[in-house]
Amino acid sequence: MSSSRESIVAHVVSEINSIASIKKTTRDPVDLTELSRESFPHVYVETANETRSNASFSDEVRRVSDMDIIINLVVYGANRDQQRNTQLEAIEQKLMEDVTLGDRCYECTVDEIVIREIGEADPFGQAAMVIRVRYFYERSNP
Amino acid sequence: MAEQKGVDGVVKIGAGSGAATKVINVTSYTLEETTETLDVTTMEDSSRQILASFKGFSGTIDGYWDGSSTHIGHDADDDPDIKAGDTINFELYPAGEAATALYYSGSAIVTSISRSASFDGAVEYSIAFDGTGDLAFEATDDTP
Repeated sequence: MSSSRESIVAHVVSEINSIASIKKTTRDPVDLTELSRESFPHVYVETANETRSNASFSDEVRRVSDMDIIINLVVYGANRDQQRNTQLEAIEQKLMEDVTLGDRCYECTVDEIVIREIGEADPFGQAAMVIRVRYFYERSNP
Repeated sequence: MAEQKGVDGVVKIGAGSGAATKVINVTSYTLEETTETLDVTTMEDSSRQILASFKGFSGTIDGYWDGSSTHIGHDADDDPDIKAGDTINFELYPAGEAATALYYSGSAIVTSISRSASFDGAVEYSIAFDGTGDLAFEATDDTP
């Protein structure tokens, strides 16, 4: 059985995969220059920082976790800024359809959108969406 | 005995004289013993003279609301086990239920139950009770 953390991020990937306009979603970084043009918009999902603390006790000790998931988006070609905005909106809309991520978490919210362009990125346009996921779990079953 | 972590605590409540069962999702509890006093100071005294009178106790239990809890949750057919005005029996274990654990028990009247929620937080509940009778100081290895 996968951990709550892995189950949540796998679900996020699955949800993004179901967005028709997103062509390729991966869990590992890829060399963008090796992807075909048909692979864009491309999304790379990675789990990031997480804070955990005790939430409640008595029957089972339950802990609360706030986990960040970074959704890296890469678009290709003309109108990069417009493409980027369109895809970011599509991703947020999809994830907000069920903020419990299929009962895997208490809530998820989009916390931040960062535009990450390093040097001359043409023809690529990149952005990162940080979503924060709060979930509870039993101490004996992380 | 060393310091204890609050997270090891166990809170049990039973309706009426029924068996006390664990309350889920507790975040904190309090148990306060009090006594009333009688002031018998007279003009001959240079300091206040106080007599202890009726003893009592009261407490609160706070936690995250969960509809599946038999204590505070309900469904279309059944009300919560614990409602304002009900008599309950409780057991509070500050350091868990290990073989030699100490705990407090007693009977009480529920004086209030509140539920609260805000847009950026979990739904919470708070139970307040006033004790009736004596507060018992017990240990899990006590033999009746």
